[in-house]
Amino acid sequence: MDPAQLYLVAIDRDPEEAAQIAKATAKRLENKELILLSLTKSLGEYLTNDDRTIRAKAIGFYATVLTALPPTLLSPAQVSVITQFLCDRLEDEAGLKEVCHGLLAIAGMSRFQPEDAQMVARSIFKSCDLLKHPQGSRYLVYQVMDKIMSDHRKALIGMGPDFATGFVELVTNEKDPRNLMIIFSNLKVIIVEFDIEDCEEQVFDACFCYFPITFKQPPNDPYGITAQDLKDRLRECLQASSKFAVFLFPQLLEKLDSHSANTKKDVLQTITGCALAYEKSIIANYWSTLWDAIKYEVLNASDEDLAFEALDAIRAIAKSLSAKLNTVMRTSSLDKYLRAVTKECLTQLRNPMAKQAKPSASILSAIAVASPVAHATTIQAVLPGLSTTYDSLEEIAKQRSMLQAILPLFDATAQVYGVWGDIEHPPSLSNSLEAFKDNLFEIYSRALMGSAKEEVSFRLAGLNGLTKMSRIKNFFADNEIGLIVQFFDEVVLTDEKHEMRDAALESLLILSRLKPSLIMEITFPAFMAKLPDREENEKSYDMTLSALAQLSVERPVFQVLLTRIFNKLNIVLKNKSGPGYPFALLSSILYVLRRKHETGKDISTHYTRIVPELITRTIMPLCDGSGGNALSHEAVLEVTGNIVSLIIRAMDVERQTEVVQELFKIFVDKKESSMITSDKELVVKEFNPLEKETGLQQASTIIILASAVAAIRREVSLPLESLQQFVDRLINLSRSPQNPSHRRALLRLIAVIINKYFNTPDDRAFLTKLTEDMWKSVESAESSEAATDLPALFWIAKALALRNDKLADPIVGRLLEVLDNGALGVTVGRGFEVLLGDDPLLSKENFAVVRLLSQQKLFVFCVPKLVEGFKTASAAAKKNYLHALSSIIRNVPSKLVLAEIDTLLPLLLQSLDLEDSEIKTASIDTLSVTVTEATGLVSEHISSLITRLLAASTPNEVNTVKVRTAALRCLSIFPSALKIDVVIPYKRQIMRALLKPLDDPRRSVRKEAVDCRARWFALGEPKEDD
Amino acid sequence: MSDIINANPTILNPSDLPTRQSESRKKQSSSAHIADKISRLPTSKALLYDPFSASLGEDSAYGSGASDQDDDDEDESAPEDIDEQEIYDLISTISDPEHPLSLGELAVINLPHIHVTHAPATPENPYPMSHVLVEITPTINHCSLATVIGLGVRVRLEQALPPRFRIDVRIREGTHQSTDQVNKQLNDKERVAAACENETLMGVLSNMLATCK
Repeated sequence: MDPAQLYLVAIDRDPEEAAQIAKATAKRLENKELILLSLTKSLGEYLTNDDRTIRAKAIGFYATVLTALPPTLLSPAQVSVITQFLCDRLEDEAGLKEVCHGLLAIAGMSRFQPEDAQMVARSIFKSCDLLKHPQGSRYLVYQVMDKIMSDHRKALIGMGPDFATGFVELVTNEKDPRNLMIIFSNLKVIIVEFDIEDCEEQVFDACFCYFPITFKQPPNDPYGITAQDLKDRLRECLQASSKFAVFLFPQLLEKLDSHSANTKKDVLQTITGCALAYEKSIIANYWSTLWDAIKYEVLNASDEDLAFEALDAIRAIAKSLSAKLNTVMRTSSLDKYLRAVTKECLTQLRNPMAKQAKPSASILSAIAVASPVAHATTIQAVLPGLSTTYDSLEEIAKQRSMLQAILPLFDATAQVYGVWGDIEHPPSLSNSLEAFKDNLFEIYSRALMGSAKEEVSFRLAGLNGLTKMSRIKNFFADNEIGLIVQFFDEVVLTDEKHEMRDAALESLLILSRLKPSLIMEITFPAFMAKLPDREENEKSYDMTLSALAQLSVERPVFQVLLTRIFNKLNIVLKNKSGPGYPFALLSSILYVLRRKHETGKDISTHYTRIVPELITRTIMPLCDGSGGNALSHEAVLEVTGNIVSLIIRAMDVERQTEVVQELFKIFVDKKESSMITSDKELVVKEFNPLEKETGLQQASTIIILASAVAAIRREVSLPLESLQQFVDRLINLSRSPQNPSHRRALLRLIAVIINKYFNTPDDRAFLTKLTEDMWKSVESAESSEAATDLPALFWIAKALALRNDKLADPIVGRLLEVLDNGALGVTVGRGFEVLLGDDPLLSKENFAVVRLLSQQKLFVFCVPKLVEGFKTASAAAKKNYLHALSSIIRNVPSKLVLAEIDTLLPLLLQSLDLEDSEIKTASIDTLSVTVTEATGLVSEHISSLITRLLAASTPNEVNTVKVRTAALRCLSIFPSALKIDVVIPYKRQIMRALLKPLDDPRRSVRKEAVDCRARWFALGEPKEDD
Repeated sequence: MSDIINANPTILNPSDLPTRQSESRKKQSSSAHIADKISRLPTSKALLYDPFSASLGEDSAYGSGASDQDDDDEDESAPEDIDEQEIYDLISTISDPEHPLSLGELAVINLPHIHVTHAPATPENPYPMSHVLVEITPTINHCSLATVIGLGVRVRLEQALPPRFRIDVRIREGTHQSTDQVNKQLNDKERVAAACENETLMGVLSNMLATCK
């Protein structure tokens, strides 16, 4: 049997085998065992067969053999013969695909000649009626065209206009996106490189008939072609020849009237693309028509996106007309265009408060950024007119609108001429805005500094103008910017309107990046001088400190800030200040340190300047008999602790080891420490914070120790002989604290140490014994005051629970049991806040052991026991359970609560009946999440929920503003969260009941009531968009 | 778009619209917020809060004036009357039916043209009648949408004010060519009720009211 026959038999049964047969045949040809002619001849009978599939398969065999041949095997004559043969076969509609495979193979042969390419093109144009074929076959035809166009373009160009017209006819009516991608890229080549003079319109129509692309990518599209891909390729075709302008622009503008935003956007983007791509002389003919149509899209914009695209187009036209222009030329097309645009915009801006004024200002800034020449022309055309109009305006509101309208021109100038610090070279054309510099400086300065204080937005316009102008490179001189900085300083320091102060500070921050030296030289001394020397009643220092802190994140500035603040602190303390001012001074240091840390800077280097200084200043007055000062106020100590902690945390193991030793010398060992910068001996003698007999002030400094130890890495061991003894000592102290915050500091320190360091079996045994003993004392206590170990138990449990330690379970279990205890229950109920609340000292950042899911574990451990206990608890003790539950819920993610909501909901509902605002708020907050997340469950209880929430919205002792607000907010979620048939029965009841909160004595509650009522009112109304 | 009645109205800058001077600092910018964080001494309540002691700690160290500025603790007892600004806030955010702008921005609603009067409360009648008069200013004097706008204002107020309020919505004298006619329509209970039955009209109204914040 001849190979063709074998192939035909095999192809349906086993394509793999058929492919092998074809390959073997190719090998035989290569080895000259078979002659090409006889192979071709052997196909004869199949090619005349009546069955079209047999004809197709025979050509398929031939194509597969050709594909397998080495590209250099065939002689030029052979290639030509085969090409001719395949081209003839194109007449047979059956087997188009296979013929194309063959053509692709033959076109890949190295001896494929230009004439062969022409022959292929002609034959395809002549014989193929692609409409009759599926998209897959058409795809192959386009691939053949693509192949010869990339390999033999010259030959095809040589065919003259025939090729272009042939191609256009061939692809008419193609709709498949994958095919269109090939066609568009071929068309672009034809437009750019082929002679299409005689058939321009025809080629143009072949492209433009696809505009606008409305294709939507189907889901699971195997080719991954998006509408944007098609749009981009099509636009490249339309942009490819300036000669299309005559057809394109009129048709595009017609489509701009479309109602579809998508079409409009496409039109505008195409105009932008073509304006930038076409020759300047072409755009010169069309700018007027284009401008007339496009301006409408900006001036009457209802869609900001479209206005943006339209501005792009307006800018692109100016850019195109700017080509090759280096100076302003009266006769240039650019000049004419800009004159038309500016004239129209100026007319609009005569009434700067009209709706179209702002868009006109945007247009001006759009053309001004197009090029330096466009900038110069625009500025020269509009600024004189705008100034005249400005001078004639009498109402402040209009003046303000005018100042605001000019602002975008400053941004445009900064874009063309750069901002300070830019390294790019500015354009050679000098900045036209300079001619108006003095006038603008005066107008905007007067607006900011010379108008009534109530005219906030007018003054803001002045401030913005000055800021924007100050940014422009080489525009204002340093002394002028210095003056502006002084204006801003004055506003920040003295203005009574906070919007003004904020905006001025914002501007100073901008300038501090562009002109840092001016800020250091002018702003810093001015602000420092403004800080009072003693605490004053109205807060004269807070904004100043806040401003200084924000300006001080850079290192050199921060050094200056530190010096000044420490000096100020001295003076303030000498003047017997209360705690408020020192607190603020130190907080500003803390703020800068935090900011520096957040921006990745190493703050441990500030140790020497800050930590010994602060600790000495805090401790010394407690030792020298002066009776202490505001630095030992709890709030100030807390800040000091935070600063110390933040800096130590940033240190490595080695430095931490040193620091912690010096620290313990002061607080524990009573030795001379390098951390004390003045009289070391005095501190050794007089500072006893851990002695029972010590005073409140010294005792309170423990918070610094706790904060510092909390920041120590676990690898660094504490300089103590026995940690257990130390903990014992601290617990002892905690039994008779100086005040609650002293106890809290001690307990936090204990928790930190246990969490980080108590790991050995011995430590664990110690803890078990310790807590056992503590329980004994708690259980024998007759009142909660007598149960002095109760707080420590909570903190120890917390330290252990955080690291998922089993030792925590028995402690927490017993704590839950005593909820029912008449004497202790109330206190224990509240104590659960400690157990689950976040403590900043016990955090991962502080190297504490915080295991994943520790909160969840504790939650899962507690909740069932709470729910069980609640059921059997005495009526009086039920409250304690709800209190504990509320503390837990407040401190865990709502996801956890939702998982247990089935069992918790009844308790939550009951807690709404408690006379405790805090619990009520917490429960309502939880319920609010529940309403959206557990709709089914809420729907079951909806009636009692609504009754209770409405009750909670009535003002009384318990229902504080917070409770009422939370209740109304929760109610307002119902209509959108739950199914309509569940809520609609309550609509009338609620609409009526909400009339009362509408008359709530507090405004904020009324607001919630109005919103809530509107939501319920809309319920059942038809949706607007349907 | 073709039948816009006033295509280029004058608009006010949102920052110029009257707002309630916030007594507290809640609504302030980041910078003021930082200032607050830096200088606000925590209250003794927050500092000494301890779940384990039944009563809060002695306040000895906190005598200074700086620590008592706690405006989170709202003064529960001080009642705040419904005033003009509150009415303004309720209705100035209603959208205009033909521009994507609010009635406040278009100066259709103006604070000086809102009047609230409260009858004095007596022990026998702790919630006496109150009256609110809103005068609206159409953007141009032949605005055919004046009635719709007035209706929107009316519906909003009826939903948002307690029943003891009598509501009066009028076109401001001299700002519209058929003031009397519109006023009659706006303040005739039956006509308003009839208008509210009209579904197309209610559709327009609910779009206008959708932007109320």
